[in-house]
Amino acid sequence: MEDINVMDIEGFNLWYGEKQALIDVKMNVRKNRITALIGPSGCGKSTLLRCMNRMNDLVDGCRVEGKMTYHGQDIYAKTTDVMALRKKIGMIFQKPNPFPMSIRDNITYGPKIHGITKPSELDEIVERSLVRAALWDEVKDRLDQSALSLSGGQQQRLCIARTLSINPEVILMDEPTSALDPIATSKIEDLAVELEKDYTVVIVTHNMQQAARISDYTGFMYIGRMVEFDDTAKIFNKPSDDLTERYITGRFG
Amino acid sequence: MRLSRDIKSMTASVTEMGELAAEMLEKSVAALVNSDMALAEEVKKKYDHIAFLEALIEDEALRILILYQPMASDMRLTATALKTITYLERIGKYSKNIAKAAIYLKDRPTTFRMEEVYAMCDVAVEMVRGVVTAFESKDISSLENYGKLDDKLDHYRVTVIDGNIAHMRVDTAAIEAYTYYISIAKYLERVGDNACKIAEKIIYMVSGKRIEIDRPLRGL
Repeated sequence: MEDINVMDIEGFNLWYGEKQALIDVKMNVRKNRITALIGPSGCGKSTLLRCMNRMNDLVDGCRVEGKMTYHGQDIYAKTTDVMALRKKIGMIFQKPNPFPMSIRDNITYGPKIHGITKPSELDEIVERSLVRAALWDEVKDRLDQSALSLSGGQQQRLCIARTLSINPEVILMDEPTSALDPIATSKIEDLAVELEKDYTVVIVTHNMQQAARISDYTGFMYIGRMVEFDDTAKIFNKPSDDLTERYITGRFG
Repeated sequence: MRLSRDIKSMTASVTEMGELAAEMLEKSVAALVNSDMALAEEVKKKYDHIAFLEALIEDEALRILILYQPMASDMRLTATALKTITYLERIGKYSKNIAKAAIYLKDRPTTFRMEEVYAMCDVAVEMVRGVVTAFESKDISSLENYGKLDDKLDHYRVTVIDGNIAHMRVDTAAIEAYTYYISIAKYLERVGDNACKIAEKIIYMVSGKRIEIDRPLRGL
C-alpha cells in the first residue's frame, strides 16, 4: 500500500484568461497519506487542489496544460468521465455547506444519484458514513432534523460524511477548519488522521501548525510555483529552500 | 516582528550565561592556583546568577514555544537554547566545585604540580568560549575540532590521576588533598563533555544535522 502514487503532477500550468496561476507545478499524491499544501494567499494552492477533480472546469477562461494523472489516467483527457472522477475524488470546502435538508438526506443524496434506492442499504450508508466522520454518536437520535441545526464543526463533519457516502478514494480539503473554533478544528484534524487509513487526503491550509500536525508530505507554493515539496518533518524542521524557510518562520517579503 | 525581538533577547541571555560560565571556570582555576579565597568566594556567589539565568531563559524559551510555535530555524534555535542552558548550568556547578576545592586546599599544601590542571583549564575555557561565540554568530567552523579537544582533556585527566596516585604513595598524610585534585581534573573533563554536547546542539541548530562529537576513550 505504501509509496503508491494516486496522482502524479508534472509540468502543470494553468491560466485564468491571460493570467497564469500555476507555473510548471510538480508534485505527487501518495496513497493513504495526508498531503498538505501551504503558501500565502493567492499562491495557487486552492487552484491546484481544484484541478485535482476538475472543479475549475466551471471557471470561465480557465485553461490547463501539462501532466495531471489519477492512477496513470490523464485527468484532463477528453475521454475522462468527470462525474466518475469526482465520485472518486471528493472535496470539502472552507465553509461547511450542508444541503438545506435533513441530516439523513444529506448523506443519502449522493448514493441516490448513483442509483442506490434500497432503504436498508441507504440506512447502512448513513450510519457507516457518520461513524467514519466521527459524528454518529452526536446525531444518531436526530437524523431527520435539519442539517442546518448542527454546529459549524458538526456541519463540517457532516460534509465529510456526505463525501464518504459515495466511497471516494481521495478527499480534497480546502481550508476545512478555517471557519471553525479550536475544539471543532481539533476534531476535524483527528478525523483527517483517522481517515488516512482508508483514504488519501490532500489538504490546503493557512495554518502551518495544522499542516505540521497532521500531514505526511507538505508542498510550499508561492506565486503559482511549487517551491518545495518534501516530507513534512523536513519542511518544518530544515527546509531546503530559503523562500520556504522565510515563509514558515514568518519572515516573508 | 515580536518573535524576532524575543529570539534576539533570548540569544543575548544565552550568550550572557555562556560568558559567565567561562568566566567562572577561569576564575575558579585562578583561585585554586593563587590560593585566592576572595576569588573563590566570588565564583561560589556567581553560581546563583547562573542558576537564575537558567530559569529565566527556560521561561523565555517556553514562552516563545507557546506563543509563536516557531518553525524551522526559529524552532531549532529555541530548542538549542533550552538544551544549552542545562549544560551551561552544569559547567557553572563544576566551576563552583573547583572554587570549593580551592578553599579546602588552601591550608593543605601538597607537592603536586599544577601544569596539567592549567592546561586542562585552558582547553576547557577555549571550548566554552567557542560554543558561546558559535551560538551567537551561527558560525560552526570552530566546532569541528571539539572531538580532538575533548580527547586532549581525557588524556590530561589520566595524567593528573596517575600523577596524584604517585604522590599519594609517598605523601600519605595528604591523601585527601590529592583526591581533590583528581576531582578537579574530573570536573574539567566534564566541562569538556558538556561543551561538546552544546557544540552538537549548535551544529544541529545551524545545519539541521545531528552528529556526535563525544568520543570517550575506551578503557578510561
